[in-house]
Amino acid sequence: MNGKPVPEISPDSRPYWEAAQRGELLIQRCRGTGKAFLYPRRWSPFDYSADPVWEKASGRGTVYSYSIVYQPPYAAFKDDCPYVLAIVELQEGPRMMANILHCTPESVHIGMAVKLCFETRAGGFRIPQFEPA
Amino acid sequence: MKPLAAIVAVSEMKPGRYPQYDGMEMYRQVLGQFLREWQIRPQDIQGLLSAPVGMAATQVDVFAHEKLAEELGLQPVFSEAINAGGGTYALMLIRAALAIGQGLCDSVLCLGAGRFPNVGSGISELMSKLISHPEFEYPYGTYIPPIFALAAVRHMHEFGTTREQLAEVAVSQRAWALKHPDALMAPQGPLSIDKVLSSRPIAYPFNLYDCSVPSEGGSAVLVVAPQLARRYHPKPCYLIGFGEKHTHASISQASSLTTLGSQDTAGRAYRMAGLGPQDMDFAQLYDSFSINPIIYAEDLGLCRKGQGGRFFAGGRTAPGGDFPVNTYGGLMSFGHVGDASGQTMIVEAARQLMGMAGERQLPQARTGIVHCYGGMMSEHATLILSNQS
Repeated sequence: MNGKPVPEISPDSRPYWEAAQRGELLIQRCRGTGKAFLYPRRWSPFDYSADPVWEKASGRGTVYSYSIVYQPPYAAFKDDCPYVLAIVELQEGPRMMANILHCTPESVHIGMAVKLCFETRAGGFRIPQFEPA
Repeated sequence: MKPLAAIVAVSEMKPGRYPQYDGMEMYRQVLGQFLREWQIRPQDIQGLLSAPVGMAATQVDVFAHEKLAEELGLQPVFSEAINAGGGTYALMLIRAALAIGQGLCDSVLCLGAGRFPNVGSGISELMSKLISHPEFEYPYGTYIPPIFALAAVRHMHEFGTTREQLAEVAVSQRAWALKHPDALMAPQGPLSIDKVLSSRPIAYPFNLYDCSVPSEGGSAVLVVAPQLARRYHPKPCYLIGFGEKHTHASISQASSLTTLGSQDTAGRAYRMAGLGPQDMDFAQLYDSFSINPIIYAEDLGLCRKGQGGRFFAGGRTAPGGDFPVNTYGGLMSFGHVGDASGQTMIVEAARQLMGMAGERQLPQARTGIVHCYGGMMSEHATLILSNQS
C-alpha cells in the first residue's frame, strides 16, 4: 500500500465511489436539461432540478490538457514522478481530473484517446484513472 | 471618467523569510513601516480591511481585522477580514470604493501580511487539498504548479505558444526587478531564455524560473474619498474602473483554460472607466507562473486572443520596450508573499502613478491596468487606475 490519498466520501458522491469499487464510472444527468455533469451533486447545476439521474459512462474520452509533474507535491507522490496530471473530457461531455497511467508521460498529448482504468489505493480502495485507448 | 476612490499612501515590506515573526507580528511589521513612512493619524482611518491571519499556516484567524483595529486604537465604521486568495486586495480596493461611494466612510486602510510555505514542507499536502477539489482532484496528486501548467499546455496547443515565449515573461520581469531595491531575485542578476529553459523542471512546461518565488511579506494601502485625496498626496492614484468575477473553484470545472474570468472583468472595468486597452500606459498582471501574464494580456485586450506569447517576445514588455508590464519584477522576480501577494501589483501601480517608482519610474504613467486573481485562476478582479482627474 502507498500513502497516496483516498477520498473522503460525501453523501452525494457515495454512488460514484461504490460504482468505482465495481469497476464502473458514473456520471449524472440533469432531469430538466438532459445535460450530463461531474462531479456528483444533489441538484443539477444547470436548472437546480432535484435528483439528477445516475448513468454509467462509456469510459472513453480524450485528454483536454495535462502536465507532467517532475517535482512531487509531497512524499506520497515521490515514487510516481514523473507522473501525468490531466483533465480528461469524457465522450459524454463532462471533464474530470485523472492521471494518465500505463504509458511514458512524454507520449501524452492533447486530444489523445484514453480509456477508463482503475488504481488501487490504501485499503483496496479503487479510484478511476485513464490509460491510452 | 469619474474617480471612485483614491490611493494616497502605500507601503510594502521587503519580501524575504521572517521565521522570527508570527502572523500578527507580520501585520505589526507592515503597520510599523507604514506609520514610519507616512504621516497618518487615527482620525485618517475610518475603515479597515485585512485578510485573515495565518492563511498559509494551519491556524487561520478570521478576526484579524478587529485585533488590528484595536491595536491601532480605532473603532472603524467599516471593517472585515476578506479572502479571495490573490484577488483579495483588488476586492478590498473595490469594497473600499463602494463603501466610500455610499458615504459609509471617507477612508479605508487595506492590509495584508502573508507567508508562502515551500513545496515539500509539512503543510504541502494540506495545501494540495485546499486548492483542489478534496474528493475529485486532490487524490490525483494536485498542487499549484501542474494545475497552472494545465492552462499553459492548453494555450500552447490552441495558439502555438512556445516555451521560449513563456521564458520571455520571466526574462522581462527579471530585468524590471533589477531596478527594484527590494526585489528578492535582483541579486541573482539578469535572466536569459536559456537560463529559464535549462532550470530544473517542476511541472511541464514550467521550469523553476517559470514559477513565482515563495516568500513572506506584506503591504498597506490607504484609500480615501477622491475629494480628500490631495490633502494626503499631490498626485493621488485614482480608481476609475473595476470588474469582478468568480468563475469556478476546482480547475477541472473551469469552462475554459485559455480565456478566463479576466476577459469579463476587463470589459466591465473599461466600460466603467470609459476607456479602452489603447488608453493604458502599463499593466501589472498577477503572475503565479509565466503563462498568466500571457493569458491576461489577451483577456485585457492588450493584444488579440492567442497573441499573448508574441506580446512578450523580444523584450517588448521589459525596460525600454513599448508596453511595460510588471514594472516591479512580478511575483516571479520581486517575490510572491503568499496570501499578501495580491496587493504587491496594486502598490506598484500606485507608485508608478504617484511618481514614486524610483529608478523604474515610467516616463509616461497616467493610466494603468491591474489584474489580480485568486484560487486556481478562479476569482478575478481588474482595476483601472489613473492620476488624471
